[in-house]
Order: sequence, then structure tokens, then C-alpha cells
Amino acid sequence: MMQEFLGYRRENGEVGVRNHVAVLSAMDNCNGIVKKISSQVRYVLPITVWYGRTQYSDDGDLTYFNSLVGLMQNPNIHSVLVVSLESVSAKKLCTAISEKTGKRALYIAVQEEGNSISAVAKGVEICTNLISIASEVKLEKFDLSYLTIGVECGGSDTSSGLSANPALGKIADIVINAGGKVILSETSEILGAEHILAKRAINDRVKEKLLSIVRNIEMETVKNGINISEINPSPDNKAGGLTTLEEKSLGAIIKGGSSPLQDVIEFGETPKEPGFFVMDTPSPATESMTGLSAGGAQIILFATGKGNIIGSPISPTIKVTGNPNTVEYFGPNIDFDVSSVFLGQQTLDDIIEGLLDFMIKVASGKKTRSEILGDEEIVLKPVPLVI
Amino acid sequence: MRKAICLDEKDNVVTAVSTIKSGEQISYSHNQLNNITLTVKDEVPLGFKIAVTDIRENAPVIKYGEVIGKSTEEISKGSIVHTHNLKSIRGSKDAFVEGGC
Repeated sequence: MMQEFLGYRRENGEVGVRNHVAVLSAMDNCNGIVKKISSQVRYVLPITVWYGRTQYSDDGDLTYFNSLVGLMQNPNIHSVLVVSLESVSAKKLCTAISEKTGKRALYIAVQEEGNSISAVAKGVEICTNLISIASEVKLEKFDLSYLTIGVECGGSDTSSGLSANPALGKIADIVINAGGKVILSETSEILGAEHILAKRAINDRVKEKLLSIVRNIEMETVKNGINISEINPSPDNKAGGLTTLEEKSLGAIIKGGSSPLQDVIEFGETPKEPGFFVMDTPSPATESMTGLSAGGAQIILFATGKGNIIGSPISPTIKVTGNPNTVEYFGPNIDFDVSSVFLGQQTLDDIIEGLLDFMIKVASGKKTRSEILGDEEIVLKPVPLVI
Repeated sequence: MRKAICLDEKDNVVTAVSTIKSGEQISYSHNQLNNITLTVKDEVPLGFKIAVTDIRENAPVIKYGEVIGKSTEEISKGSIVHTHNLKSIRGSKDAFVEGGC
């Protein structure tokens, strides 16, 4: 049966599962203005940041800039108001956001508006218009080939690798078979399992790229005197029975499914063709999901064991757990329970249709627990050098 | 209801899916392995691993059919396996010099 969801068509042919008007800080000194605008206009999505000042020169590190542009290019965003201290950075962001997508990106610069009070007033006026325009977009039916799914895990325990991650892997294969894209991330949580992913690389270039990002993490930590296996698994992972990073990684990569590895992409980079991708991101879920959202994921499937509450504000995040204890105490934060698989009462095949239906409902507008509760955050990969 | 999961015939540990009492006898299955019985020596919380064979010191511990680290002491069949007797091979200076993967 053809699976379809109700989404929002964008000018460049991409499809959103949400229809957000984003108010974006270009730099951290504007976060207060973004918060004030979003408290005065209903339905806007505030995105605040750390850093940003001195990040807009032509020869600077592009990760920060590209990440912000990527986040705003995500199909779940209808239009954008950029808030900056001055107009140069704001204009640069707006141009880059609308260039690829054709979406409306407007800006306010505090120094042009005179002061922060008048900047808020102008922002409120602009957002009122943008919300009015965005609310006209009609929902249409689309098949799964329009989806880019991020697969994530956080607060893992041994149940993750035995039930929730395998369930996500099955969905990943279904989405890819339908012509969609799936992104697996968190490079250090591939360490110990890279030989398995490497076998799935479509050619030697991709294989070497995968092995090199893992090798780089291992070398970098050793060079800095850090023993990565003492940091990861984290204390809650260990409390959930996970002992070593190899064990955690072997369980974690299962959520990517079994499709060939098309390519290894940078933090926040958008996959160019359908299929399975690995994105080079830090392992904490908030940072990793920021990369996935910037890479165009409209939905994130998130396996948790001991329980991690966080979701992406841009990509609705579906929490799946296989730990029966977590289902009990963490229930309000869980979207889908696969503990019957962990306990051996049901097989993956028994539950997978239910999980797919759930994902399609979310793609069609159903709110996830992290959306409802507001447990959402954007954290850009730290700027390597702030001068 | 099953008490433990075995993931691969090569594995020398299984994972408890509920708390198992010390002295309790459990059974596990996987493909060719059918209803293998095991007496558990320690109290094992949900999600923790149990050795299904005697594992000598400094030997690979296998789960998913893959090496998840090496034992830091002799582990007897039926004992809980965790940070006190199993450590990572990867990510430390020594491991990296050895070559890792």
C-alpha cells in the first residue's frame, strides 16, 4: 500500500511537515529581542543561538553560517525573520536562506531600527504578516520519497540496541525503499562498529571517508589526552547496562537500517540523492539533531533507553523506547513504546506497521511529546575560534 | 516470558530483560541454540549482561557476534559482566597504538 502524509509544498519542490515562521538570532546578543517578539506574536518559532558575533567575515569558518542557513532552509520552515545587531550579517543570512529555497527571509537590524524597543516593534509587525501569509498554505498528500528522516539515540541503555534502534532501522529501510533519505549521525558512536558500516559503503571513496571521520575522532581525543571510552558511555548509559563504547556503537548503528551507505556528509550538509547517509556530528543529541535539522531532516526518530527528553524545535522528534521501566516513569515523554519487543512478547515485524503509521501521523501534523512539552533546543557545533 | 536475550551464536554474554535473582536458573535461545539453561550467580538488573561461559582474563567479550571489549579479570559462567570486569579496547592511547580498527 502506498503510504502518504499531509505536507506543505515549498517553492523549490521540497515538502515540509510543519509550516513554521522562524525568528532567528543571527548572533547571541539578539536573543532577547527574538524572545520578546515570540512572546508577542502567536505561532512563531524562536531560534536563539550562542556565539555569532565575528562569524560573518568572508574568510571565517563557515560551519556556523552554514548551519544557520541550513536550519532555515529546512522544508519545515515557511519563512524567516532574521534578527541581527547590524545589517551586513543579516543581509548575508537572508540572501543565503532564500537563494536555494526561494523562501521569504526578511531581517531587522537593531542599529537600523534605532534601539531594541523599536526593533521588537518592527519584528512583531513583520511576523504578524508572515504568520498570516504562512497560514494560507494548504496541506497536500505526498509519498514517503519526500521525506528525509534523521535517526538519533540518546540516554541509551542496552534495551536501545535490542529493540528501539532495530525498530528505527526497519523504518529507515522502508523510507529508503520508498525513495526517501535517512541520515545517521554521532561519529564517536560509530567507533567500534565502523567495520560494519564500512562494508555497506557504495565505493572505496565513501568507505575511506567513513573510516577517516571515526579515526579522526579517536586520534583527536588521544592527542588531547582524553580517553574517550571513559566519557562515553555516559553515566546513565552505564546505569542502563551499557559497559563499553564498542557495545554502545554496535547497538547504535542498527538504527540506520541495512541500506547501502551513499555518502558521508559534513555537519548540517544536505544529502544530494535518496538513500542512506552518515553525517559527521558530535555525539550529544542536541548538537547532533541540530546537524540533522540543518541537513534537511523533516522528522527525527529518537530511540531512548533510560530517557532523554530533548527534541529538535525544527524537526518533530519521535521518542521510541524499549525499556519497560522507562515506559512507566518516563511515559509523558515517550511517543512510541516497543518494550514488547525487548520482552520478547512481540517481534519487530509485529510492531513496525504501528510505528510507521505513527510517523506518518506526525508527518501529517500530530504533535510529538517534545513539541507539546517544549523540550527543544538548537545548539550549533561550537565555534572553534572566537576572536 | 523470556528472561534474557542472546543475539548471536558466537556471543559469550546474554542480556537480562528483567531483574534476575542470584541463584536463579534461566534459559535463552537463538537460532541453533535452543533453551540453553544457565544458573545466574549474581543479582542482575534489567539490561545488564551475564557471562554464558567462563571467560579468562584479558579475553574478548562478544555481543552482537562482535567484540565489545576485553575482560579485566577471570569471569565465571553465570556472573554479571559490567565495568568491574570488562573494558573498552578502543579510544585510549594504548588501544590506538595497537592499531584498533
